[in-house]
Amino acid sequence: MRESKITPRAFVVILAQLALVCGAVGLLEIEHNGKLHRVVALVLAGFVVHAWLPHRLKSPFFLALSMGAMALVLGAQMPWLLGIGLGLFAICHLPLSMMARGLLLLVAGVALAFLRGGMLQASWAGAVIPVLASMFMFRVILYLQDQKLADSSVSWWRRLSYFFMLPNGSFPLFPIIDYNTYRRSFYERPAVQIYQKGVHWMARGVLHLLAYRLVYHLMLPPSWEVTDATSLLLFIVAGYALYLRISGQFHLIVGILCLFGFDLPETHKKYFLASSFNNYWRRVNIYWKDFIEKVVFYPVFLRVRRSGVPQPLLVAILITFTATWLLHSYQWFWLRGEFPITVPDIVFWAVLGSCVAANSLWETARGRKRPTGDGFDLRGAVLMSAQTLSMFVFLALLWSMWDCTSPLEWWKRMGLLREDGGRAALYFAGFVVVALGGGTLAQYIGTLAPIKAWQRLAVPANNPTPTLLLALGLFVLGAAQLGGVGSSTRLAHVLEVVTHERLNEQDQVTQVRGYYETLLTRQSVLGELWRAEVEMPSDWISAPDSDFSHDVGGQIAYELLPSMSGTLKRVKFTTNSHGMRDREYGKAKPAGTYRIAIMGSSYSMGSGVADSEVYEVLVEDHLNAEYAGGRYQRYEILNFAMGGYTHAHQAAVYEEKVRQFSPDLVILADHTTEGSRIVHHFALRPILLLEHPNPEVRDVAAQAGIYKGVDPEIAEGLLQPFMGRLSHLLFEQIVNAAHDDGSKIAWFYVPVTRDDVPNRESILPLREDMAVRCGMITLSAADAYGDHGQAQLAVAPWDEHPNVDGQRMLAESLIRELKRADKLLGLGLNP
Amino acid sequence: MSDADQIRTDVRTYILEQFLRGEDPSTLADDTRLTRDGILTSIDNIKLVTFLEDTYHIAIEAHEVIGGPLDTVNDIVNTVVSKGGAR
Repeated sequence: MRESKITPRAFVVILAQLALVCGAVGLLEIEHNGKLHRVVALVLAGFVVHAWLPHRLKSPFFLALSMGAMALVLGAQMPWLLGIGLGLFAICHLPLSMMARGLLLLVAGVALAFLRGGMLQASWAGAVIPVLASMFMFRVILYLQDQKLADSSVSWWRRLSYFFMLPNGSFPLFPIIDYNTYRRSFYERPAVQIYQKGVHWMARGVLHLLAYRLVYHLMLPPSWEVTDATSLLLFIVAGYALYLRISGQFHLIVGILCLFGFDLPETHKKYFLASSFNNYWRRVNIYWKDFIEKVVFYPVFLRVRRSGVPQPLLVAILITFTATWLLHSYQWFWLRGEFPITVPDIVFWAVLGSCVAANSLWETARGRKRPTGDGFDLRGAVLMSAQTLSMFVFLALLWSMWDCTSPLEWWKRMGLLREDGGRAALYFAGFVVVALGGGTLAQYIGTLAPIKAWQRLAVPANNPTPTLLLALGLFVLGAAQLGGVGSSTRLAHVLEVVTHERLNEQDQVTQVRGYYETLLTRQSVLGELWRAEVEMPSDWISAPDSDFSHDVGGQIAYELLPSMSGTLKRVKFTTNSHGMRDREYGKAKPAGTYRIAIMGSSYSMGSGVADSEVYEVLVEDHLNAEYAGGRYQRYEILNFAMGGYTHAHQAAVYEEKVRQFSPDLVILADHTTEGSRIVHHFALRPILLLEHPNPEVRDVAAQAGIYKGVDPEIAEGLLQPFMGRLSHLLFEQIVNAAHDDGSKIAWFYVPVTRDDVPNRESILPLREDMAVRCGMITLSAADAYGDHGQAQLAVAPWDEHPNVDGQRMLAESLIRELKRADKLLGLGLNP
Repeated sequence: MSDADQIRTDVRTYILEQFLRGEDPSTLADDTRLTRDGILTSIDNIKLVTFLEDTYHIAIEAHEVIGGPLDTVNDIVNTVVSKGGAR
């Protein structure tokens, strides 16, 4: 009889620890955008009930709780997920042959793939299919395969919960839990041991995710700051360490499942300390290894061996790694909607597969050494440290190649090591000495009697160290907060980084990252797609991606279609006959009219607010209501803004459109992020830089070393030093053109609503000064929002653009600024 | 000694000699989880499968290797017996 009962005392001890871990998840905003804080609250409450339920009710309760957690994350989309999920589950149990059921699942999968790939359209598909896929894309294979070992004693509740697992809604990238292990492990050991393991693993997951934050924010330099060997070495090591996010999430997930009686094994085992290729493969993402071995390696090996093919092990390993590569693309397809076949993927899996194959052949021939656990052996300890260090360096380099868009680009990046070889060698030698010494010392300490006694007590499955560390960490954080750490100190920055979930400097500008980072960044936690597809309504589309926009090529690239009327982001969106989001105006300026042209991006276009609520309209109405009939009969403000436009677009918009309307004043809206946006724009489309009509801008391309087809991330790095120069040249180009036409030109600073814009305070005066030097009159809405932040001003939680209040505040600021600068602008607003 | 007992002795001896050399035999209980607790690697598993197939003239299916019928010494004995394995 399996023991699923717990004593009140043990329950209280575990509950206290669980409350600590769940509190840490909430306080530190762990996986906040995946709504994990809500899920762990449910876990805490669910655990309290589940632990005391009779054994027969535990599985139904767990399933109900899992459904509740998914509904919490998915909201209105839940019925679709439930319906399709149950349909797929039903196919697995049809009274047909295994082959027939497999074929039916394949047909269903193809239909869903059409929906995921956009060949078929359904409003719910973008939100539901990634989550559904994360539940079924691998697990259904294992489930169907294990039907061969049919165990009728497994309840339907538990079978269903295998797919609808509690934290799946928060984690689309989910460990592939083996069905056989899942069903067998249910209260396989005494409940208290499984629960305790679950809490410790959750704490371990939180610690990994906090370590990830430190690496992501404090260690990983933006790609454009990788200019010498030192920064490159840091970039390589920190890039590899970003994997902490995956291990953190997986520990959390499996820890949660342990709390409900599933005595699952570890997903990761100190993978940075792998001492051989096979050792690495056995330590990192162990569930994936088990899955691929079960589905590919063993079937291939047994078949090849029985058919008498020589070297069956080698053949099986190479086929296994080929399948691993393709299945990673398969996973990417379901989560991202694209099926990438890239050279770095092929090289990464080919190199890793070849190394594991060679290592396996060696191991088969020579046998595998097991640690003896005897006394300290200096030679052996140094050798082990050297092996571990070599593996770490090799894998970090291989990982850095995987993160590049091509091996050639990676090789070019590695050129910094060759150019800066002396310093690189010095740093590397220092790193080797510290690592070898540290590794050897750690092994020596591990042989000391008290440590061995602790290790015996804290067996890996029940190691309290993470929970103790987390408690200590929370205490220190609390003390630091209470102690009032100054907001400008380095420690305050570290605290800020640890306690909040946000993008780092590079990712605020560009989201170019490696396989897992891209999946996660955009799927669940920090980024756009997960929010876009799960939380954000499917009809919430930005103007450039909508039917209101069309491509026109050249420097403008895309523009609003003329004479359109409809709904965008659920508000009225109208364009005039000239393709402006604005009222109708003639090209010729009416007599007695002061005409203003505004050029800007989505903020000025009024993304997310109705036509009549855009700040430009409010200002125009105000000027006409208060001042028309004075010096001027009428004021017109023509809105040339468009979502996604940078000053690079606007320079072309001025040439091709604005000047036809003979404005008296041109207002160029600017953000402190504009320099980065310009760089990002040209990095993504280097051809626009290489063929820019302004020869000085083309010179920048030459000086930066930009060439046709350059990798965007490399281009981003190459262009970063020229950010200011590009901004200046584009300012000058627009100013000169306006002055040639006899128009005045003003720079108008429009702050973004986000609270976490990097270096806003230092960049703003630089841009203002640049505007003045280029001959612009300056207007600023720097204080427009007062104490209000994104929470009060954004049009939606997933969309930072200013709402009606934000637009009104911008209008009030602009009116104030126009009056202040009236003498220079000649608007006639002051008596 | 019954067939099952003989198989148990053979399997224990094989695992101890091949994969747990130098370990105290008492560390290998009949219900010790071999794969799930990381005692056997995938290479060890294929050696074990090869041993079982060659010794008892049975065929092991791929889905039986991980976390299932070969997970403990008890599981292995039951699997070999149920497949009618004999030397």
